[in-house]
Amino acid sequence: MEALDSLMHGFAVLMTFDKLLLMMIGICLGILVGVLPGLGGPNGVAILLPLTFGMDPTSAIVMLSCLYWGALFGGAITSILFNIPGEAWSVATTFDGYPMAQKGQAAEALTAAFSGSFIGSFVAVVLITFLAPSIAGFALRFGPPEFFAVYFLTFCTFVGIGREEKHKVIISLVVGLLLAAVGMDTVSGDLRMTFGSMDLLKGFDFLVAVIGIFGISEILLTIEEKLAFRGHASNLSFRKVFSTWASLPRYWVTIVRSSAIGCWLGITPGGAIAASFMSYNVAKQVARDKESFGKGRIDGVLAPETAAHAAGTSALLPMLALGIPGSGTAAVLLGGLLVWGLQPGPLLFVEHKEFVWGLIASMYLGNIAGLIIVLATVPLFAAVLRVPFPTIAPMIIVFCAIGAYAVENSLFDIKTMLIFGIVGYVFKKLDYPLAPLTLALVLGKRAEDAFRQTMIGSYGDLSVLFSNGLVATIMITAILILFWPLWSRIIGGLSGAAAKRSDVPAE
Amino acid sequence: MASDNDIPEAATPAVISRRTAEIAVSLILIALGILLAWDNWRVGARWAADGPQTGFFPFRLALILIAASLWGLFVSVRAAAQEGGAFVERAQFKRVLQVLVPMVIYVVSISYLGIYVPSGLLVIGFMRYLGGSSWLSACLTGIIFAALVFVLFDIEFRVLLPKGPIEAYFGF
Repeated sequence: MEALDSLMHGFAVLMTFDKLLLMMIGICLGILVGVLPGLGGPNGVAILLPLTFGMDPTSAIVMLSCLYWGALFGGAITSILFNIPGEAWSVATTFDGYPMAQKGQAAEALTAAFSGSFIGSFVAVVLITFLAPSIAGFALRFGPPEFFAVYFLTFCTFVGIGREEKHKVIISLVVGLLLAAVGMDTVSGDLRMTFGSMDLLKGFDFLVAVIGIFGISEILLTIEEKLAFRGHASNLSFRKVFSTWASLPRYWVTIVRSSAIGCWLGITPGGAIAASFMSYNVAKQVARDKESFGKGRIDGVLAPETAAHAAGTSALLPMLALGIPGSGTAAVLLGGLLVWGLQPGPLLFVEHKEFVWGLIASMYLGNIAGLIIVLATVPLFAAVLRVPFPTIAPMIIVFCAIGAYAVENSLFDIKTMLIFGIVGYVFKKLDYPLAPLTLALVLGKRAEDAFRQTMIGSYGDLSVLFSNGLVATIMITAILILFWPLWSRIIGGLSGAAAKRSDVPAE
Repeated sequence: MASDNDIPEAATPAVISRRTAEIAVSLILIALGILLAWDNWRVGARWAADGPQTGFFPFRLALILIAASLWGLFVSVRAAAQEGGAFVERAQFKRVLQVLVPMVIYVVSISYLGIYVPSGLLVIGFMRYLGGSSWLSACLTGIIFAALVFVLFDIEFRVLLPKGPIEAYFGF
């Protein structure tokens, strides 16, 4: 197997003392940002990205992927012990995790969550190992129309599947796309939407937006709610870890099902958050006594955590192979790769082979190291949450500012970050979804380039987007998903089940 | 945020209602859409001999933004005045300002003082005035934190951050 050879080579690169040490540091920092209120997946990784700017690319990706693992694991700690979901996809973990902690079974819940995450991510990494090269190979044949169709599909998925009001999803997407277009037009060299400002010339950096929108706004929201943390002790011990592990094989069906759901939804753009909810609901539906869910069942923790991490990890597959991130955090990693001039996409597998396999190998090692470290350090990180918020908040603000500055050594970016923070605060309070905005911001330029190249190639004839089987299939799928609420209403109406009027899509 | 962790408090009067906020945001977005549409039309949003002009793509995006925001405006105007409750209550707003105002000052001062001194001061201020810590522990935490950040970024990871006159005095 070519993939295995390349992977082994990747491992060999990583097995040095420096790299392993870096891995530990990365995981610990990752857990820390995952645990801290107001930080978490995307913005946590975005804030820590600057740490890697001074490193060689291999060390940097090791650090990055470990940050990523740490942040993923960290979210479960706050969900279970404090009933605070660190990320949107940790929400489902609180349903049964927190009741377990209340019953004094925090150790079992945490062990189940970490083990589930570990297995889910592991399955996803295996999937990436064997699938990513062939998808990338396949995508090498993509021309501009195909790429535009895939971007279009991504945006349509958000609108069709998003649970917020449709016009708000559309606004969020369009604002992201518009922000991406600010600055110098790469094709003609003309300036657009800069209004004579020199600072706007370079456009808006996606990482700065993420830090503001997720980091700063989260602090404002947290302080507004006057959050006081009241958590449960983790009482984790080796004996409990092993006794929980011994009970896990009984739930193998849940684990396999959740991993499958997670991988499937993770690859679908915008589907990562849905994965944990769907997995939880399926587990509840198939269980014999549905009533006991929500009162502290171990498979109620396993199902969402396994799926969330399988999704979170497989979201990296389209990011690496196609250059289209499947989740917010994957988008930040993509932003990180761009900083080193690495353009994710099919060519990455040809031009930067070593890099890709180093990254995949570090995902395996990071996952294992993450599991061990997180099990050993839960009490330490739970203690972090007991530090009063007025002490933690300014430090988070400082790290946000550093993160925003370091992207391009620009003081203007710190101010932009603050404005994004205030906008994010208002948008969040009014239930505008923010994930589409950030993803649109990172994909906007490339989506537009793909569109223009397509149009130039076809002399402005839109029918080129339906000219061959592949591109037509993607476009039709996209349009079907865009009007998904409409279909489900029609189907519901036909079966007579949905008598209740649901929301009318904004289109 | 998990409701379980909120300290129950008596509801204070709303600064503005959610409906007002919805309408205001929709209006701002419509204005933004018109501004951007105009700017892109000015740059050229039509079809040239060599393909779409610079403003072609963003101009259409701006139109979508206007349309979606108009719909949002329509939805929120039609909603009953009482629906949705408060956007932000007075007590909440006060707490938000207590964090936001120092944050603005902090961001502005970085341009003049570098990042380390304002960072330390920010930690000290928050701990002393919002957290009620003693001067001693606030100052110690602030100074140690700023020093740690310096060691971590400038020395350990070689990420050079903005510095001001005080760092210059010490030769950095």
